Amino acid sequence: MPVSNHMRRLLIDTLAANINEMVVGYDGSPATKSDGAAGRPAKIINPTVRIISDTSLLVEGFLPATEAFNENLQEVFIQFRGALSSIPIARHTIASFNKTASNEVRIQIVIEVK
Amino acid sequence: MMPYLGLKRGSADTSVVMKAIRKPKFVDNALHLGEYSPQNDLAKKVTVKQRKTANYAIATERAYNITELQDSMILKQPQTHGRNYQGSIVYMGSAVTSDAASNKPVLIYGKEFTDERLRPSSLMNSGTGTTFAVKNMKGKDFKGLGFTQTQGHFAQPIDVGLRTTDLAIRLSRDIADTLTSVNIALPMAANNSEIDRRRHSDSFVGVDFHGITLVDALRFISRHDSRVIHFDRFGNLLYVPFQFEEGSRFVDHMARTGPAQTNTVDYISNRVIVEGVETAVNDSAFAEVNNSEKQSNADIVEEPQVIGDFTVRSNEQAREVARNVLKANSVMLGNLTSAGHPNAWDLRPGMTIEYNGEKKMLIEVRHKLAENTADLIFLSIERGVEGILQGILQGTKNTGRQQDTIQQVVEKNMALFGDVEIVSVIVTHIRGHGIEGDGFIIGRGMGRGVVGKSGTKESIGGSKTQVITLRGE
Repeated sequence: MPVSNHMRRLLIDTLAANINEMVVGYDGSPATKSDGAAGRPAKIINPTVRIISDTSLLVEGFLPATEAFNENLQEVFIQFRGALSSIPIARHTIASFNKTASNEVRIQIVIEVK
Repeated sequence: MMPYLGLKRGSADTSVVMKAIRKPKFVDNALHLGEYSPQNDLAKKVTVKQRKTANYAIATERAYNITELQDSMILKQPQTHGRNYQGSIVYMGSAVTSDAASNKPVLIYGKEFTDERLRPSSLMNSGTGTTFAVKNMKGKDFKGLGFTQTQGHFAQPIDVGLRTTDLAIRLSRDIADTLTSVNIALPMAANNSEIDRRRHSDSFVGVDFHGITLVDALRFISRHDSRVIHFDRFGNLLYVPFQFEEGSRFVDHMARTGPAQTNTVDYISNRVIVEGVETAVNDSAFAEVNNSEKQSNADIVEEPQVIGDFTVRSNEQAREVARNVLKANSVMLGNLTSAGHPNAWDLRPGMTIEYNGEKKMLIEVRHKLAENTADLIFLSIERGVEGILQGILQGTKNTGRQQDTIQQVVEKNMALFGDVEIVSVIVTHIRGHGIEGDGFIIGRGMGRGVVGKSGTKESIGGSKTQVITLRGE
């Protein structure tokens, strides 16, 4: 139904301004809309947030070769962390992979307002 | 001998007679205006306000003069000795001169017979007195309608009632022993400690529910606060918000052998009429609300029956109820079929399942026991299905006392629903570095000139693997 594209852009701007933390974790339980945090956080990444069109934005996080974990990474969670509160934005369960000192991982989350 | 008269007469003041003169104070049965504002999800703040004309209108001290016209009337300030003000009427401390004025009178009741009520409509003119349109005259004069007075006070109809969630609990007190429990949320548990806790509404309703069944009564209240009645599997009667979530079973939407498809339904009523109780001789709370957007590319599909709702006491409430009905219609977009789910023998219609990250309600389940699979059908909307299943459209009366739409002032309402969906997709890129010592060696010296991985340092170029890209959903 026709909601104006300008409003979508405003939503994208607002969302982009409100994502400042990406968390990777070990928990592989299915992601749902009511998830409020990463299940078992492993590492907090400072993501790069880019608006790529009027209706979509890209959240990008990078784990360099120096990061290594004992367990497989299975989830990615993004949120806004303010001084007093944090607002969960999205949690994704991903195909499990082993992050060792001999690989690099780039995580991209595209958020689209349809 | 007669005693001296002065000694016989009580000359001293007695303590039981009050000497000071003060205005009477009504302590009992007094109403205070409290502003009830939500602070966050669960907490509410009540601010009790002093009665001032700026805060809310009360019945007027003086009665205004009413001059009847064709489908309208002139209201004038009452004339007294030494005072012949003829201009626009003054109410709540200022003159009523425009239709947008916040002090426009809502209801007039007769000076002598206070049960005769008349509802003024839009302001037409101001100058000598103030002229208001009067809706729904049905070709009669005021006397014919039942309003015989020529002077009237202004008033504001109010309901003195309970908060809807409190009312729901109070109403179900009588059958509380029959059911496992009656509540406005699930019992406290670790997994519903925050979002599904008791959430009180901030709307108030005052209606006599004598002789009405409990479920009917709750359904009527629910139209005011967007709540639904929910019987859970354990015999609890819950009166919960539309977006209520029950701890549910997870069904993997990818693990299936059959197809998944959406069946849309478009032919749903997009015009509803809600009628409440009579508030004045020329007015019953009434609203006709259209989902004009749905009407623009299809026909007008009118709900065949007027939805009678005796909890509706004003046009605003009627509009709200009608909007809720249209909202429910607007989201009722059909069902989703997903076939061939293994190990789903425990699913029953009516259960909430978690499918593709969303809560969905099963309306039909077909089990194939030989193959250990199940075909599921659920409504494609996420929540609030119960409201639709419970028949939000049903009313208790159909009086046929609809407003005439010929040759008189009518009111049309439109409701539009916007729709935004936010989708998030994850893509992961993994690039391996090869193992230690895999470097591309230039030169001949031992351990010199190594391009590529050395120790824990990152490698460049040659020894890196191809990128593995994993796309989530």
